[in-house]
Amino acid sequence: MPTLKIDDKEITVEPGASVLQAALANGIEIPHYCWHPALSVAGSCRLCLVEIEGSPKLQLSCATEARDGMIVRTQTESVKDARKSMLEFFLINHPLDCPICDKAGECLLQDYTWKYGTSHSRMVEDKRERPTKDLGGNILLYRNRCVLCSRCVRFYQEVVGDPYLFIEHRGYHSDISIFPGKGLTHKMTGNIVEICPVGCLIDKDFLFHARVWNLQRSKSVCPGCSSGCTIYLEHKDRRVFRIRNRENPAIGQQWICDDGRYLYHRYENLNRPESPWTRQAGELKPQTWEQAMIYAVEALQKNPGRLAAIGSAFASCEENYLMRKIFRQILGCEYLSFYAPAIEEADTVYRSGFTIRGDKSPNRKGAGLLLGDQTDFYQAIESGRITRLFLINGDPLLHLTLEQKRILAKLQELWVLDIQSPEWDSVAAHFWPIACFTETQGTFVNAVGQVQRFQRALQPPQGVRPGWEVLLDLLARLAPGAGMLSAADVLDALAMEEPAWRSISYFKLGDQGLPIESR
Amino acid sequence: MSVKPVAYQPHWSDRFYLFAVLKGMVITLKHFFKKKYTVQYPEVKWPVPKGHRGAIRLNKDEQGRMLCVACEMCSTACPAKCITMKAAVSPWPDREKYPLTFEINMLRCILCGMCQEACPEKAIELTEIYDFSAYTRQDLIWDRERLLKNYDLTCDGRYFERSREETGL
Ligand code: SF4
Ligand code: SF4
Ligand code: SF4
Ligand code: SF4
Ligand code: FES
Repeated sequence: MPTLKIDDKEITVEPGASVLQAALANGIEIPHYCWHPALSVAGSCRLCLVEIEGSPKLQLSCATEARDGMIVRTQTESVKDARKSMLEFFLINHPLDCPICDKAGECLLQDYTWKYGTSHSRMVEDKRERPTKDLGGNILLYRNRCVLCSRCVRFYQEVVGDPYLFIEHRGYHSDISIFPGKGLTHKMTGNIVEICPVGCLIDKDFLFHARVWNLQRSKSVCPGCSSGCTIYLEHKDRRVFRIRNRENPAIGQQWICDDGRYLYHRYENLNRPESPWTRQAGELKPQTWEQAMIYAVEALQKNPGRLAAIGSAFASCEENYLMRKIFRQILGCEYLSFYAPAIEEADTVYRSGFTIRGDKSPNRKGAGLLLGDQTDFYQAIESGRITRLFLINGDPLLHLTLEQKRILAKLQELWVLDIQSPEWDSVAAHFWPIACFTETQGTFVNAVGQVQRFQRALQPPQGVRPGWEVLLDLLARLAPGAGMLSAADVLDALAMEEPAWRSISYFKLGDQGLPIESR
Repeated sequence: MSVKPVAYQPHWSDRFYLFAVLKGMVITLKHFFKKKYTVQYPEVKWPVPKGHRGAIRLNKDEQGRMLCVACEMCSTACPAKCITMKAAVSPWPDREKYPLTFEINMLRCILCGMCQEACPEKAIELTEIYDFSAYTRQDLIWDRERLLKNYDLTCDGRYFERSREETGL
């Protein structure tokens, strides 16, 4: 393995790594635009120049392979001078409209100019002006701001495998353009907004909604499909403003799809009551949580024989585990299963290996491991095997068919824990409003068996409680002394009981999660 | 060290009082002919020196449109965190962004002028208006229209003169 010296620091890297990679991996910053870890080397921005002993001229660190005994300097006068000049070139026609640019605050042109550039412009001529283009879908191209790094062009060629963008004209007239007849409606499009180092590609979904430095970030997991991509929920004032990719090297996840990126809209304006309700003489009557619990404890204990419990592929492992604990171990129910939406499409695999799964639920695997196979509980109700049902859901797209409603109406009693109530208004006897994934915490097991943790971003509205907390409350009333107080305690208890989860805890899961099946 | 208390021993002329009364009346009479410093507030407003940092205004351009582009530099700079706004795509062709709502909580504002310093558009300024008390807290949370009205009141620099003309004092 080659060992080289960068700024007097001894660095050993994998063979084939570039000088830039070697530096970045060791905390030495070399400014760069066109190089991106997931894309090929373009060598076009000329910002990553460094001095290498033995070469008469400055070299591109992104396109120079790290070799044994190399001596690299990144802080010499000539390097600094080169960066300064390059940045001056980038700014020649740049509008410097940072105050109204959504990228401001996370823009590499801002950061590099601040750190390595000059504070004055020598440009006295008028700047070139190019009108903003709508590329279709959610993407706006602010052509004035482009630094022509070609990351977006290469993204479509190399990651998606379907070229959409190209550089039109040459030299001074170069311009990002879209192939005729195409609009940027591709499902991977949102990623180019993230990889664009400047504010050239802007997402209409976020346009002017907030300044990025005002947003808080919470680490979460996308519930859009069973890939379970790790994401950041960026929020402010009790509202999610955007979802950003949070790479997970442990499972090689580098991107997120647009289904996931805009999925937070499904959880806005959920139609949910401010407290549990119960059906009394055909009327939906609001109850306090205390009343609802007291009644449930009594009613559930009375007749456990034909009671069944249904978990959900949209509920966390913690919630599904608590369902099992309450209904199998304490109430002795025979029938346990879980809800998961039907898989209607095949997985979509892109050139880089990124997969959008056909399974549009985040925790089918976890629910299956905890609650056994998914069975058709409608049939069991029809045949009279189930007369009373306790069900947790969490799918924002849940739709009950008339047939399903007819069958559910046959039940003597139906408890529903869900994030919204309209679907259940006509069938449930008791409805308990629970928090949606942005408002609670827990773990999901994705399609490749990685247990990943999602954290709470928002506070649930008044009267709405996290599902795990509600179930824990119920458990404590049915069997006092369970000794669990928090979601972390629930996961610990789960890890003690289930061999597949052995030694998993929130602390050990960290940001990247842990695989479940290799143990 | 001991202190020896000495009783006040008025002179006979003081004990006579009439001289003291006359002396006081002479002082009063002198002031009667001097320049007056008191103003009849609130009918008359004392004009503050230039650079006074009072109520905030949102400036307008020649066409009467607000200058603000909703960049949130002011709210970022504000140490009291009292500026909030909601941006939107502007209805005018010569700019892209403008504030749909713009709110300053004057209960929290410390009139430091940081917002004015930070603004890249010279769209927000502190004015000479110092009399902006209100009867409810809600009245001191100023919206966009109220801030633009402050501009109309002060843009000609005759805020104090006008108040004098209006009251005729
Ligand atoms: S649009 Fe952005 S990513 Fe694409 S070339 Fe321009 S600066 Fe680079
Ligand atoms: S691939 Fe699936 S998990 Fe990943 S962002 Fe898209 S919907 Fe979400
Ligand atoms: S004057 Fe100071 S405290 Fe008041 S709004 Fe401006 S920055 Fe904030
Ligand atoms: S800094 Fe100026 S332009 Fe920006 S939001 Fe504040 S008032 Fe408007
Ligand atoms: S990063 Fe090396 S040339 Fe752009």
